[in-house]
Amino acid sequence: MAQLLTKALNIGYNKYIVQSNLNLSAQKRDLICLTGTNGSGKSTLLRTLAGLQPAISGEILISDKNISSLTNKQKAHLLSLVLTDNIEVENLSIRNLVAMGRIPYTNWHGKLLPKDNEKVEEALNNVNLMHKAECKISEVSDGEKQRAVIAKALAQDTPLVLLDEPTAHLDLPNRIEVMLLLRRLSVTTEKTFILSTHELDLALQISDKIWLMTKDGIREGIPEDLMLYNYFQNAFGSKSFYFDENDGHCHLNQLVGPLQVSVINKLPTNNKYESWMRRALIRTGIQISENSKISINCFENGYTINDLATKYDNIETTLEALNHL
Amino acid sequence: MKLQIKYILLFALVILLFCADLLIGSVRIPISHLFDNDGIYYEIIHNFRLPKAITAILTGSAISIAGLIMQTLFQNPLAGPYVLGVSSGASLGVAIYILAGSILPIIFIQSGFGLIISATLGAVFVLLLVLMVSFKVRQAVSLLLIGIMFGQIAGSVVSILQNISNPDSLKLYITWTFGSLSAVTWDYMIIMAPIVFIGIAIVFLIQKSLNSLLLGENYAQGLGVNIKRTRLLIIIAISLLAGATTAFTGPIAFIGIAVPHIVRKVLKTSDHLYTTLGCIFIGSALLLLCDICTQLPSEGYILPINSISALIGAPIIIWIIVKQNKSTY
Repeated sequence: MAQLLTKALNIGYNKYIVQSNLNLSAQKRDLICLTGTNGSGKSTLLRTLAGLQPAISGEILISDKNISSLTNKQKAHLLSLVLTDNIEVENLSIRNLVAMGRIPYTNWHGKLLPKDNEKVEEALNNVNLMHKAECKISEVSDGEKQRAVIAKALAQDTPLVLLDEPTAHLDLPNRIEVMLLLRRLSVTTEKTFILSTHELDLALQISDKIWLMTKDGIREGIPEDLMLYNYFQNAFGSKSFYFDENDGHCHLNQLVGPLQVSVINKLPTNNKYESWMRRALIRTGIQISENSKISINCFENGYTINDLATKYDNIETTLEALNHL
Repeated sequence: MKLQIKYILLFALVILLFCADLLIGSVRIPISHLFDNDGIYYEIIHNFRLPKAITAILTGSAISIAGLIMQTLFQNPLAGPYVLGVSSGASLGVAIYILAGSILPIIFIQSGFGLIISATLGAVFVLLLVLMVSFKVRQAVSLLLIGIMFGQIAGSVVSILQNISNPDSLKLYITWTFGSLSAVTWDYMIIMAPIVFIGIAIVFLIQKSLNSLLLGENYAQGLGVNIKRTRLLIIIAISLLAGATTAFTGPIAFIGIAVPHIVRKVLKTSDHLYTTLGCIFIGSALLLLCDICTQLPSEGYILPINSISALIGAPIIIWIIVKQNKSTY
């Protein structure tokens, strides 16, 4: 049974269709990254799936229930949200924020029963915030706040969790931590996570599936297939960068100057001094050509230019010497 | 300190101020005569001071709660019935009723209901305008300025009405604008009290939705809240609480915006179940205190309550804006 299924779904604003005829599906335990260029409709799709805006036509089924026929409260039992909206509430502790995930289950004045408290504890444990449970959300870091919002979605205990750019505004370690957290949660909680993101590198490494949004529709597939058949290159393709065909990393097309050098590895094994020198040359716009008269020899912890005796012990001084040649 | 203890202390404070309000005035009543069953002191307390003190409690609670739910609805710490022009709207309604009514050939009956209905309609009118603008303008200070502009427009219309109306109704209106808790006699009380109770009851019934709204409308919808219905109920509650009380007591400045902030600081929570109750206690206490201050200068001379409440409320608004700026930079 698919956790989420869309049938001939058209999404957009008013009469303007952003994406048409979407037939997507997501299974239990899936971590799906929704990616694509700006304006390709990532947010529109997420907002439509979340019921925050109506679909133009077509059906959305969550756990086999058509969401257009459900009330907000019934929907709140099927899907939970992590949005980019900033949460600023005076005096709100992390525990109370997470407990708000239980609102669809509690009575009229929001009394938490033992079962609700269990779910809150479990969610706090899952995102590793037990030690900060009593801290006010205004006093914790952005990364901790984002984890708290994810815990709120977990406490809501829905089969489907939708996240709109959960790593925006975070620094690199926190971005990776949040992504790894979601990866772990999709396995341990058996929920389906669908998140929009601009982190291509991270998305390629952790997601089960990628929904790649382009102007011509959505390409659904596992990361490796999308990479292998150049779908990423086609979707994001531009003159300024390209995806490495071998490892999927993104490289910039730098401006290139007239200077040409060759790079020679003087060690018998793979040499990181060589690979980083190549990067530095590409970055500074120096062409690498095996036929050039000028050569840079890479040793272990040092460089020489041509066959001169001077040895440079880092890349910066080598480049300076190169420019004075 | 536990929440229950804070509530008990606040309740004791309200009782203390309530008794003080009964005793202090142009005639100082000795404390031993507080529970007299007849005599001159009984007449003063029963016919004048008791309804006035009860009005202070009802009005203080009502406009504080109106301010609280407006701050939640607009997601804006500077929202309140007075600053967003709702009180001005109520004034406009009352002005049309008292002033324009007097130039019409039909004789309007000066009943409490007419006043209430016109003030409430005026409040709803301005509230809907501000709500419409608030979807376009998200910045706290801009919305505040727009509220003030609506207040100015309402004020101008009132001035025009004043120019063309007769002196008797003009005096009636001017007296009303000073704001007075003693305008509410027992006859009016039986109209005003139920309206306030209905408004407070609505707020208690939707407090779970109000809590969800603290996270923003999108998150609230994700938590199963019916946004349209909640917004409608909030507007009805604000209109009843701010519109109806303003109709009887005249506009009372800044209590509605200041009290919710004091409540959140004192109770250290933003949960509407607790803050609503807190608004009842602190709103009552503050307005009772204001009323006592109006009696202080000298025997027989009473200050307008609107000025006293502004003296207390306006500095709190300045403090909020300064604090907000600090957190942005």
